[in-house]
Amino acid sequence: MGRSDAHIEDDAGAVSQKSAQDHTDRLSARWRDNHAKRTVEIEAELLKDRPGATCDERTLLHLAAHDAALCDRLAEAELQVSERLVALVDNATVSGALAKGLQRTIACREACARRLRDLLQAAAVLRGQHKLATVTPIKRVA
Amino acid sequence: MAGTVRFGAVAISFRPGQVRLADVLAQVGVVDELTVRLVDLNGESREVHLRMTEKWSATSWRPALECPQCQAPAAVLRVQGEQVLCARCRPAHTAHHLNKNCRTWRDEGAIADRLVRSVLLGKGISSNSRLARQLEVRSLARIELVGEQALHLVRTIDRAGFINP
Repeated sequence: MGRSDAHIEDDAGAVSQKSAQDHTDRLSARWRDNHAKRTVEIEAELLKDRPGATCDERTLLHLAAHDAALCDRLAEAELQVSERLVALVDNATVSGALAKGLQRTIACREACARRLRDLLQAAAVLRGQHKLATVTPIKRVA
Repeated sequence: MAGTVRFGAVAISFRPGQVRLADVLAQVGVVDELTVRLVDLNGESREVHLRMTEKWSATSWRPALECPQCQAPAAVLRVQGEQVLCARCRPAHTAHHLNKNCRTWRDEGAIADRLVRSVLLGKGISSNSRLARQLEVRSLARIELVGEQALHLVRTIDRAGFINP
């Protein structure tokens, strides 16, 4: 018994969906590779100023580098969306979608930037603690 | 303090921006005046001179730190400007109370805060690495999604030809 047209269409749809998924996965993997490279670059720059960083400090700086790389990417996306929004601000059909996308991107970038600031601040405090512990002897009384 | 007069003690507070009675007692014991070296929230080291006082606690007098502004006994003093003040003089909120309704807090801000506190208080390397991994994976996934959505929107607009060259 031959297969119906509907089954054949379903198979074709599944194949195209699979290839689209593969394409998305490849893009995602490439993006993650680029992100990892950028993170390593930023981390190397951050560690250049902090020789002899402790394990915890290195963890914080790694996360800060990761967040800085993510901020870069979001800033690029934000720039592109805002350029389109400026060009199409009179077009009511697309400007709403663009504004919403821009708002989401900005919110995410701000969250990322705030996290980055907290992590760098914590790294500075950790360094201060380490310095205090190594330099100052505790003077015991009685 | 009644009975004994002891000066010149130096203690270190490893909690950023605050001095705790328990830390002081563990390091220098009960004294009249002491100098505490601490790191403020910007990572700069400071030195503050404090007095100790006594506080009636259920059945006996217990040592306590004296707030330099109101002279009341306190267990924790927090950095405020050039001074360290008690909770009555400088009411403090936790980061959770301040930020729980913010988007940044939901977007992995809470995990970052837990990680920072865990690192600064020396909670242990396994919990630090677990939180760091969690933070990295979640933030990467979220931002990949948001970035992809924004770029997809841009590509769709370009393809539809809304903008004339």
